[in-house]
Amino acid sequence: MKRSVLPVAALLVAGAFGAGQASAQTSASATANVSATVIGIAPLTATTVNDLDFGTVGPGVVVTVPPTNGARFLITGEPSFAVTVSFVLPASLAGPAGGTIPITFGNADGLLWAPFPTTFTTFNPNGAFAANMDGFGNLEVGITGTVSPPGGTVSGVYTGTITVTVAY
Amino acid sequence: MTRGRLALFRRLAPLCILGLAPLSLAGQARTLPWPDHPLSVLARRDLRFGPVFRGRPTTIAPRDHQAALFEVGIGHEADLLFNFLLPPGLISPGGEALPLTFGPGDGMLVRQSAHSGGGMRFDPTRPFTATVSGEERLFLHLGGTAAPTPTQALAHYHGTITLVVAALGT
Repeated sequence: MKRSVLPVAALLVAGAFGAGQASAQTSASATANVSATVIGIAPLTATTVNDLDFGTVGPGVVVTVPPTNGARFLITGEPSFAVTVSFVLPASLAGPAGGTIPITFGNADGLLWAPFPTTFTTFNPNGAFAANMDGFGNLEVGITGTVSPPGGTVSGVYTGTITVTVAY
Repeated sequence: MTRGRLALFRRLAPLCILGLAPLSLAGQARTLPWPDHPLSVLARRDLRFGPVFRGRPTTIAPRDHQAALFEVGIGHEADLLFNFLLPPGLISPGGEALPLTFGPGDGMLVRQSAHSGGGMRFDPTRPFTATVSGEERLFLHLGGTAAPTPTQALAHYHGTITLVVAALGT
């Protein structure tokens, strides 16, 4: 008698176990990896902090902007790395009716601030200049210049563009 | 079979049928999942930021080839609940942490039946539901942002993302 009952009991247990397996399939999960590698040389960025503004000038009057009012650029990059700074400078500012005003940049018109506005050293902005990023990866350079409006210059706004390029 | 054993079989046979019947009826009523079509969740691709610079946050868009990709299927119509287990940061072998963030635009659900380019944005920081029909497969793309600090240690950082999917008993 016992031998006949056992297969039935085994079948019932198997059915219950099968139901347990099925209910486990109501949820499932999977895991993906996430990775990143921090490398040492940060990319360089350059931001204009201040334009070079000569204000109102009169014909025949030579005007030079003091260092603290000169153009300034904030450069960020890898801390303490050596960089080369160079400018593309205009020879004149363009105004109304095709008029121009000559602009010049002297050998000491490049400004390396450390920090602005209290301390700076000068360099020649007409050529490439070697500098070092500070310990935080910042570098602040500036430039000033001189305009010489000739007599008879037409009144109006005269503008030009200064471009700074920085490279490791 | 002896007469005694035959008599015993006749008495126990209904019990055997009763023991199996609830399973069969339950399957027809779909109160249990279909064993032939189990819920499957597969991690098809890892989230790889690659090289990142100190102090420069790097974001991987969900449809970027560097984003994580999960594939989900269940084989029949069902409402599915999705829940991502996201780490707050990645860890270097030396124990340093690299901050990791996820936002509302970092998830994209794309149906197998959808035309290329289609998809539904989702916020991986919150559980959400979606309905899957028939044999359809769902693809969940996941991006994110790694934000190294300016003084982040130079190292390889690692972590894991887990997607938990539950069928809501459709």
